[in-house]
Amino acid sequence: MNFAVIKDNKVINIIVAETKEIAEEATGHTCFEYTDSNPAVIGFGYADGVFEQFTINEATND
Amino acid sequence: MAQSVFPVPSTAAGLSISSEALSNVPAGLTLRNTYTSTTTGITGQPDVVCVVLISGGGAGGWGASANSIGGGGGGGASYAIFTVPKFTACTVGAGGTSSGAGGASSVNSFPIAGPSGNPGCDGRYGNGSSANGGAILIKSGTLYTDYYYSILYEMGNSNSGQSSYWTGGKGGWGGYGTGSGANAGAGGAGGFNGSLTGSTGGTGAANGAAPSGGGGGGGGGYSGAGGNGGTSGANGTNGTGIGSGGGGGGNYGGQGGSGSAGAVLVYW
Repeated sequence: MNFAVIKDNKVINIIVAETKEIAEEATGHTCFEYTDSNPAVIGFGYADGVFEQFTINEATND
Repeated sequence: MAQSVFPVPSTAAGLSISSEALSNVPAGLTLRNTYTSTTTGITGQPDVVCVVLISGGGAGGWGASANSIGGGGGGGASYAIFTVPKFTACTVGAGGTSSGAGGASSVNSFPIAGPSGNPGCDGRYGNGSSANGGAILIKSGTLYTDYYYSILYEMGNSNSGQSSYWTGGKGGWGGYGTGSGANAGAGGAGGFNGSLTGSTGGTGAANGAAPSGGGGGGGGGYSGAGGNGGTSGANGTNGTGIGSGGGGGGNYGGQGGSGSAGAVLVYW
């Protein structure tokens, strides 16, 4: 299974592990499984079971 | 599945370990373990071991949806060789998905007490020209003076615009479907192979016949070959081997392939 390693609600790594417990023990961080239908990408945010790219609000001169 | 076949190297189906010895592993050492899944509770090592950390390969980029450009192939894995104190846990980086970078492999919970290989980089949406390989970072980039570890060697394929050190493979470019006949999609260089040289990715689709523009081939992983570029409108194929890159998506929104997972090799 694939797990996303989460720190401060952000995906900091993606790893292969047999269980969530192993993933968390090895990394020292909370981990969540991800799938092809809910893929995790390094740098994405994580909230309520969903991995999403952070939205960047561009500054304007208005 | 985890591979912790102490004290002999793993030979599980699906592994693609080179029969060619890594030339920069110190002479006299023997491959003892191959971990292809994150593992804890590791015992039985001598005080100092040599590890090869192979990151996951990057995913191929998406093809553009509107202008006939294939996605770049994913970068092959980066890797590093270190001597480290014996360790009890290792993490194995997953292959990148959804145009993302591959995961990092490490021992003993980087950055607290161990080195880590950064992931192979991703292909980029609609244009593989920036599908650079990932860098290697150890202890937040301050590795050179670290007293605790000695870095024996590392090598991925060095890419333009990147440091000549600590880089992984480069994904291929997607082809362009402009019909102009210019700029055929180039193949991607892979991460490395057993002789520590980059594997060459496949050639992307040629231009000139709109709408063309297949995806670039993924970078080759450890002891693997680069993927092939897609033909007009088709996805590129993934590279092969541990840590290979995913093929780029074909034009008109083709999804890139996923990278393959990395590994941790242990020698003493």
